[in-house]
Amino acid sequence: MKKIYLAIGLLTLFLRGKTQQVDSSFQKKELPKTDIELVFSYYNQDGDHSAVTGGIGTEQLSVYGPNVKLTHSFKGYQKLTLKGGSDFITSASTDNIDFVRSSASLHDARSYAHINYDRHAKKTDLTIGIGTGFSLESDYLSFPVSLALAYQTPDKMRNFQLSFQAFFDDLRWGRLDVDYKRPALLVYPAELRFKEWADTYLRNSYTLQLGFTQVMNKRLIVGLFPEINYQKGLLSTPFHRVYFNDDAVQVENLPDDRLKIPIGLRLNYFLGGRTILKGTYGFYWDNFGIIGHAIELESAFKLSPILTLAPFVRFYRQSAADYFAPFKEHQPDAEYYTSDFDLSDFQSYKAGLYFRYAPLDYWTRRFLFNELRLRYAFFRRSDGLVAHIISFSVGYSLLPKTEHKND
Amino acid sequence: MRIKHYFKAVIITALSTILLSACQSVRPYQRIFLNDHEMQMGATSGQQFEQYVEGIREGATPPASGKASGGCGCN
Repeated sequence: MKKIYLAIGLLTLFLRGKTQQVDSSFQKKELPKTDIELVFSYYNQDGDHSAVTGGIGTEQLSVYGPNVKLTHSFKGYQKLTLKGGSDFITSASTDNIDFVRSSASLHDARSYAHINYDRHAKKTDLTIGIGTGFSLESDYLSFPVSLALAYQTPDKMRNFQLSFQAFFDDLRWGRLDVDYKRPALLVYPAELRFKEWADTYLRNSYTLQLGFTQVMNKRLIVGLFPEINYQKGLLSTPFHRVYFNDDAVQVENLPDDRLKIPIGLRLNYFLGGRTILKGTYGFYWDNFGIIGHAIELESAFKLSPILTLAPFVRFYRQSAADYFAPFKEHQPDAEYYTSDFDLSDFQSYKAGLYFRYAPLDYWTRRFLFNELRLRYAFFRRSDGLVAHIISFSVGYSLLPKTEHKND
Repeated sequence: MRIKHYFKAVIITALSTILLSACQSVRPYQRIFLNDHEMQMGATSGQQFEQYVEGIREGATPPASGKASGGCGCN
């Protein structure tokens, strides 16, 4: 009897050992994948403090902005991102540069493209990214370059980010004009084109961003995002008018360098059930004299595993730049002056609703429908400017062809 | 001097929030809430567009907006 038990025991051990043998032909392999995001954004505003007409006059503006983003992940540790799009702009205020109704200045467009390459170091949890691109308008050309580093601790509790961006901008007009086809001149208001007001047409911006996120517990994550931004060159807009209290009119003039320091603090908390609370506080300081505070709160309600509805609200307050004064309130002896109400003392609020539908539905074996997002925001500034912001996006994934072998 | 006070307030608030809350170690199988799409720190395309607008219509640059120039924004 003992021999039988021994034989069964040995057979069991043998079979168990057999099933636990490692299949040496198996290798973990990350398959390449391409994510596609199609976005359409719409912006509409109206107000009565246009800087083009010296702080009075219409600010009516509409922007239609379609864009597409492709993210290709390959070899399990590399990612290539391409983003391109255009903003089609209808602006009543820039139409007042020459006071000729229905002129070419009524319509404008911005086209842009960016490319980013990210590589994840296999052993160190470090990701390195580089990027460049362009942004082109009738009176603006910008070349950005960026370098980014991200590190996640092995226990995935902390994340550190460091990125540097530089933008090299040229504010001359003429590239898209059929008569010039080259950057020719700065656009001044029609009645002020008798002299050259600016010393330069270049603007360079440098941004150093830091990011630190910490998982506090299984429901709470906190992020801190300090940043330094330095701009040098032509920081005023050449077609902005300024009216002085002696009835003189000149082109806006601002210092040729600006230091900005924004700091952001974010908390995301999974309240339980199906509710997620998100809070953001933003502090801002610059050497133009502006100090700003922003608080944004969002509650995301997961109505089902694939449906999310999130109302949000944001309050913002800023002090005025030292160089700001409204229409005809500037002193004639002022060194720097602007009547751009974006640099004035005001409060603003934004409120809106965000909707996400994420079915992760295979339309074919290689085509995955990820999500659909719709976001609407109403924005109001205490000087009377009102805006509506709408974004609609659809996300897909294109999966690789898989080979099945019948052994 | 006002700037220094603001900076101190912001930094003290941030550090207090992080330090005073005891960080609990979270194991991979406990990350179901943290891995939720809505818990991620990054901005969606819609939020990025709003930050772009805010960067123009307000004097301040929104923190971590990933953009401080690259467009006229002068309309």
